[in-house]
Amino acid sequence: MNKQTPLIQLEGVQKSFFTETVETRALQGIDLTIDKGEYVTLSGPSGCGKSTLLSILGLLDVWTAGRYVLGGHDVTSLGREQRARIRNREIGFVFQSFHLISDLSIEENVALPLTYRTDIGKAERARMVAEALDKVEMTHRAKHFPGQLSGGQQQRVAVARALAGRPSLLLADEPTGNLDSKNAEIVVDLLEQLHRDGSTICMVTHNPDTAARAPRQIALFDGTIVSDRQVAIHRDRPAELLLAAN
Amino acid sequence: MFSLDDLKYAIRLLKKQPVFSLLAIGVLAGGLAVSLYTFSLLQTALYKDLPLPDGGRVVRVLAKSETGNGLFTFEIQQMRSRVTRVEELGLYRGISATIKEQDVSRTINAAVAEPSIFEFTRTQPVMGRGLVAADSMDGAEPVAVIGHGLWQSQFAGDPKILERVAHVDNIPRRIVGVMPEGYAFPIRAQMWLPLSRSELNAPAYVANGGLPAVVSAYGRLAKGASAAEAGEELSQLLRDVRQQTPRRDNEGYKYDAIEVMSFQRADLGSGGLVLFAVLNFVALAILLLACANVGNMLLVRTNERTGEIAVRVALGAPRRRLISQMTLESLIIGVLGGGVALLLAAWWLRGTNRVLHSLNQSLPYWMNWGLDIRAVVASAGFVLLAVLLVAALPILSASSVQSASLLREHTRGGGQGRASGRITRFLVTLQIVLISLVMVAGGALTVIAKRFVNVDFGIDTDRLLFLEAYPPEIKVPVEQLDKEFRLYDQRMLAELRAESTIDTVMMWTQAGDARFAIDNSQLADLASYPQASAVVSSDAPVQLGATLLEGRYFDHREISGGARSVLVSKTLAETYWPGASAIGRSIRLVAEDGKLGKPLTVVGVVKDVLDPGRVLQIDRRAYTCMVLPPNVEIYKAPGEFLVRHHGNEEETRRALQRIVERLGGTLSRPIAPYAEELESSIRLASAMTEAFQAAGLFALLLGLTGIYGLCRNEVIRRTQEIGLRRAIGATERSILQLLLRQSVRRLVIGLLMGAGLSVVALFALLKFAALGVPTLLTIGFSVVATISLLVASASYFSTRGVLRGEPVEALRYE
Repeated sequence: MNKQTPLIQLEGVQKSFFTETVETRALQGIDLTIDKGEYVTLSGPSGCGKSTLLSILGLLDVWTAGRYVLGGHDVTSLGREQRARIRNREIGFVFQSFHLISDLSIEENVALPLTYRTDIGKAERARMVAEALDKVEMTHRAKHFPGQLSGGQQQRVAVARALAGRPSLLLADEPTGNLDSKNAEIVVDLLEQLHRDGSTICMVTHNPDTAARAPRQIALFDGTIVSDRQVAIHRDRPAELLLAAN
Repeated sequence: MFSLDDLKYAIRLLKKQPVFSLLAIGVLAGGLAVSLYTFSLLQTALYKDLPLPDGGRVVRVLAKSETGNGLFTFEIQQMRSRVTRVEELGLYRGISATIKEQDVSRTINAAVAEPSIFEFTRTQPVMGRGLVAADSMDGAEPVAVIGHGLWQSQFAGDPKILERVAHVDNIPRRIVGVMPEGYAFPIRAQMWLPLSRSELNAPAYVANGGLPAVVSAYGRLAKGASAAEAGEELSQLLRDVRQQTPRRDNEGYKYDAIEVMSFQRADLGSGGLVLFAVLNFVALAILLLACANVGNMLLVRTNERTGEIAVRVALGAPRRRLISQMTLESLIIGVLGGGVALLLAAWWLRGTNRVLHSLNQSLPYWMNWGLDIRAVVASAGFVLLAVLLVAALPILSASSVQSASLLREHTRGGGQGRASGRITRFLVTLQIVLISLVMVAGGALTVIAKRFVNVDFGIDTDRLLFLEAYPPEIKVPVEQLDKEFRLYDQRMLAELRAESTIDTVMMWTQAGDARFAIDNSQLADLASYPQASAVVSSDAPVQLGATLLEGRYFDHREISGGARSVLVSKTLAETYWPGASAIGRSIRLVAEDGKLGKPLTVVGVVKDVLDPGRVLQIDRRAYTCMVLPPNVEIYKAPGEFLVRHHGNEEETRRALQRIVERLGGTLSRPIAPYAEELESSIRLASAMTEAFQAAGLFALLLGLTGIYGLCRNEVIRRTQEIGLRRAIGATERSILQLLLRQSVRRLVIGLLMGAGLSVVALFALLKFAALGVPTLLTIGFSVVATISLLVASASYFSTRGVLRGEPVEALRYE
């Protein structure tokens, strides 16, 4: 992938859910491009399709129509095994409900995506886990289990897990949704720091304040993108609108 | 502890999911019913007090001997005045008597007993009187007391029965009393005759009626005395008596100690005890399986209610209250299941009673199965145990996490927590342990049951009757008895062979075990010599006993010529002369002092013959047998014949009876087809084993569905985890491998623990019936294969089901 190639390109992506009699269109022809290094928030009311869009971006779900090019490769017709491989190497996930495995320790949870890779040895894996935990300042809780951690700490561990494999894309689905404001602030700060370090981040959020902190803010309504704004972010003053689209 | 509100809420929850509730009650009822049924079976057959006043202390006094349990009359008479730990000691002989009415004979079980027998049992006749001392006097009028059943069946309930005379073994006896319905003390008596004073006071070891003077004894344990103490006291008294009057060695029957035990235990024998123990062990495993299944169902429901529990905890519900709520639901299921189980067990016991009594007319009178107060108390105990076990799982699940983390785990989609996972994994392992045990025990019992059904006694029983008759009283010195017995046998043979309806006849007497030496080999001690079951046989003009495979049967050379010959079974020949002919080789019988007898030449090899007494130990040893002519030293007692007839069976029986009467003998049991004789030795055990096979099948179904359900539950419980693993890049294959690997780990642990318990069960069963290594390996392999396949397929298909959708579906799974 050269420098000009967008990381994500969606062309007319649609997603429908079928019940016995009704077809519900969750996404209605989404066109979206995200470049490497961008920090994008997806927001909108409940049921607008933002989580569905994030699932498709993360290859967690299939789409009904349209084309998806990830890192210059068309992933539209990939099989399950190939999509799993891409998720493992290129994408990191942070979920609203953390999804830490209660039977695994913190470091085992963080190491989990690396265990599915054959190109990483044990020592390398340990080093990568330690690095990821260090980034989220959770090294001291490495031997603990998820049930012993607070919500904010669990979400930081989830971020470490998403980072451990050094993915090119970090997807976060309402990462602050289950947290109090203080812990939410910590997690958002963490994501911003990762963005500053060069990570591409796409985050679904309900929270307007959280959304406002991202340089690019996309709003969805009824399965379509209704606004896509680039803003200049200054840490010491409110966001400044640069561009409005749609 | 329980509030009315909690009760109402528990009932509402059960009513809300009627299928769940009915299934839980049904499964628990099945497990409880099997346990209760087995318990009642054992209770009645072994532990229940005899149905007599103060029946709990009534015991039987037996000689400790491998070949019988009668006591020499002379000895027990010497001891009875000195024994302190057994009270009201009474003596009797169980006999088979022929009762004849208008030329129709019928053989019945009778007890020739001391007149005090009815006082001992505190039971009065319903009509007439019991036996009195005067009835035992020499020259007294012969009398008989009959049982209620015999009065009804033989005398059609004649109200003037006390005016009638019964011809018992050709002696006219006045019927003086009728005992109440169901009374058959000591074991299965239909008639009671007085034991004569002269027999009781016989001088030391004098034979009576051609047999050593031997009696059976009963008594009541003295208050505070145990059966073991009573046995020790009697054994010591026996030694004292023998010091004063040394026992002679040529009675052909030996014992050196006396034991005291309940009638039930004496009747059941050690094989039956082991069988009952194993069956109860298996029944308990079935109950545990049922509890694990219902517990798992409740656990799933508790997990579904995690949110509700979290809210209750958050609202300040005390832990005790939560536990009582969880227990109430289990209690309701347990009580309803227990009620259904009581009805089911009562129905099964009634059926068992009907079937077993129709199969075996001579079951002891105490073997009347049904629910009694002890069974109801036991069922309450079983229900309590079940409720505790069933409620323990959801309580553990709900109590093992703190309220805060309960709320946290519930809202964070992290699955249902470590506690719940641990319980489910424990349950899977427990189910594997229990089902392995049940399958191994069930498999072993199935093999045994098949052997019972298909057992080959090695004898063609077509038109074959079995006749056993005591000779008439022979008043000769004991040393001359053998000669007289042989003469009696020859007279019987001659008479029987002259009968027109009889094709052929031979003497065929099981003579117990004999130790022998091959060729001229001599071993260090008696125990080192091999053992074989021995049969004493006459010659046979046409093959009648064991089918001849090689050589010849006995003929005049043995019967009148004095040739010392032996026939050996195929197994014996193959064991000791592998690859060579046994004909012409020699065997020597080994006496109890270790001395070798004169050589016996093998003149024939016969098909393996199974002693009906060994039917519960069908192994190589049981088929190691030899057939000996009557001129060898092992000959002990006369009177057992096999008769092949060509006429009407009933006519032949009457003809045989006439011959016995003509020679002054007494039938020791009814003349019956030999096939029936053989079958009777297996009926009870095979019927019971088959009944438990049915219970085993239920357990198998319970276990298999339980394991499948638990494995499936375990996978479904981990749906979100599977979704997460897929989200972060795990391939479907790696997830399948992971879950299968984890299942295999639990499988191995479960199978290893199950193998340990199974070895204990098999160890007990092997005492009861031998199973070869190939059989055990086949059972073991089948059990391991079945359970492995089940666990693997449950894990595989459940995981496939979860993997079918996209990862996002699994992540959003609630």
